[in-house]
Amino acid sequence: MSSPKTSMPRILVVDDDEMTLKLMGTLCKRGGYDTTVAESGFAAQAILQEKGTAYFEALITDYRMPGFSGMDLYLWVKEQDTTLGTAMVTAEGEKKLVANSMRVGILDFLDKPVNVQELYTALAATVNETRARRKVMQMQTSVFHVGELQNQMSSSGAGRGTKTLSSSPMILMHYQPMHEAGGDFVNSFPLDDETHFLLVADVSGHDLKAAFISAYFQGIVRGMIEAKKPVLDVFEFFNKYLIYDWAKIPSESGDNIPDSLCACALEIQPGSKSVTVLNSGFPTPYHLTADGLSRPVGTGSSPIGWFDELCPSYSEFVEISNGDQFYFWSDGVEDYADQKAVSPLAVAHRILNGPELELGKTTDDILLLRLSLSEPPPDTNTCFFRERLGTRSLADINILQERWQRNLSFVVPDCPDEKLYDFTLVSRELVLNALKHGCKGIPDASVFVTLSWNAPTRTLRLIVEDPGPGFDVKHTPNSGDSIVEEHCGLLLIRKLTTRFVTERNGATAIADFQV
Amino acid sequence: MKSYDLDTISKTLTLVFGGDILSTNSEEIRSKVFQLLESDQMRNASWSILKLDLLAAKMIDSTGLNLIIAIIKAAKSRGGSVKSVISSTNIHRTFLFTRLDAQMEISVVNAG
Repeated sequence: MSSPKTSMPRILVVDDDEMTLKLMGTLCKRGGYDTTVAESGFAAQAILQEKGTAYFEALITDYRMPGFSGMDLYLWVKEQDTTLGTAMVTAEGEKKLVANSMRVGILDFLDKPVNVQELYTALAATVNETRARRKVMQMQTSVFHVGELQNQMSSSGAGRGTKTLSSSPMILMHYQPMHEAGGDFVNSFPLDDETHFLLVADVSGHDLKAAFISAYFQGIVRGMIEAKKPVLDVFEFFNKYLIYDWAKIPSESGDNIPDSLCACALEIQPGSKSVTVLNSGFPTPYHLTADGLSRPVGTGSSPIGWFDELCPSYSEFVEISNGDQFYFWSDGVEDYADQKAVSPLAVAHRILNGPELELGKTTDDILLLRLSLSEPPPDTNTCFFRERLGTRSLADINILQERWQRNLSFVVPDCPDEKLYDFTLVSRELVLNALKHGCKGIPDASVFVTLSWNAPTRTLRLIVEDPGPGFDVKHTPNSGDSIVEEHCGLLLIRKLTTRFVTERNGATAIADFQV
Repeated sequence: MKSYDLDTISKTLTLVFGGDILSTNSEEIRSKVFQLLESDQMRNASWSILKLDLLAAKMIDSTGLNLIIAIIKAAKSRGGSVKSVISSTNIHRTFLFTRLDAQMEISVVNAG
């Protein structure tokens, strides 16, 4: 959109009354406006088509004109250019009518006969508003273009939805950006014959500054990594850059909030079946094993740009097996999970494995990645919920139970009520047993509850682990005519599950349900 | 336990449970039930049928089942029989799994 070259604002005045048009034109010229006049709505339309709406900075038009009224002209202009401000000249009694019918859009109304001072005030306001609108639009266009460039650099750039970034290692990504620039991005590229590099990051803010930081960081990372610099050096370099160089640039908003970014880098070596995770403030990734368990990796550290020293202890080396998966997500996934009161793992599971989830309008970008050495085999149980419970949780068992149910219903929305009941009862029994007996006498003992789902076989797996020495699991209560007391729990568990096994002498209980 | 009713004509003592019977509330329920059953009034009353009204219960866990077993034992120890009325098919299934149907008459009403 081109802007006027002259310092005098260009305006278009429209009126079908020859005398009024002449008077208005003269007044506007005297007021310092480069004025074009049109004797009808049709004539104004032709001028605007010829010169372009961007040529003018204000349109002042009579309301009542035969054939093509001021209102018709305004509506037509609005379709062509939402930035051009319009002032309407109305006769007595028309103003309220027009205002009511339009609700919004017309910047000013001038009563006939037009008062000179009111005319100048209205023209100045309309021109100013047009300029402000065009500045905002220019900014939006710039942000969009920067975002496009940023996206072209980033692996996350080629549109929203789920796509495969790499087949070996297998990297699946779901991306749903909410902003034109800044925000989340992914870089995925082979480093050499043995190593694949994956970087996921989230820059604070969604403006041009954020887009610049994002692009600069991606360039620095790529350059330094290809020059064989350790990832930690790259993170430390950028940390110092943000704190000592970037922070000197005055903020337009005047706030003192430091610009920062959260980043998680992975060096994947498919040959040696290992992954090294380096995390600076990014939401904790999870390592999921094929048997349905999971554990967080690369936890705890502040984002890049917060503190002078980056703590290197968050670098973690992980050995992986075929069927193992890594899940990563940006904070947009965590926000969405909070909204739904479910685990981020459940949201990640649902997005990547279905059934299809309509995310709607989210508050932040949604970026989600799944990494595995190859396509996970069909018998893989993928974890969607994991929690650690202290012995104090015993009193909250009813609340916990509701949480497990909610997560299960989120991941398996068609889970029949009967199966939900069986699962709830069994999980309650196992967790109560683990908290009461498995943690007995062990200071600060914890119980881990893990839920996983295998969609092809529709198998739900519940794993409850306690730190205790276990118990005699060979004991099988006999149900029958004699009233069984004390062992109802075990009896129910065996009856309500498809498969129930224990490990570590019963300290780990694994219950499968065919749903 | 929410309330009880003694019908001397049918010789039935009905215990009405207000909801689920779970590990979190079974001790309180147990205390109320046995306080009633062991009271002079109930010991001397001529009831021979103990009816457990479990219509409001949606879930009974193993602790709850153990309480029901204890109540059945108490009723049987004085030569009585036990009936239960439930509305949850899930609870019905757990009663069948634990063979409580062999210990008491179970009626399922308004099952949903």
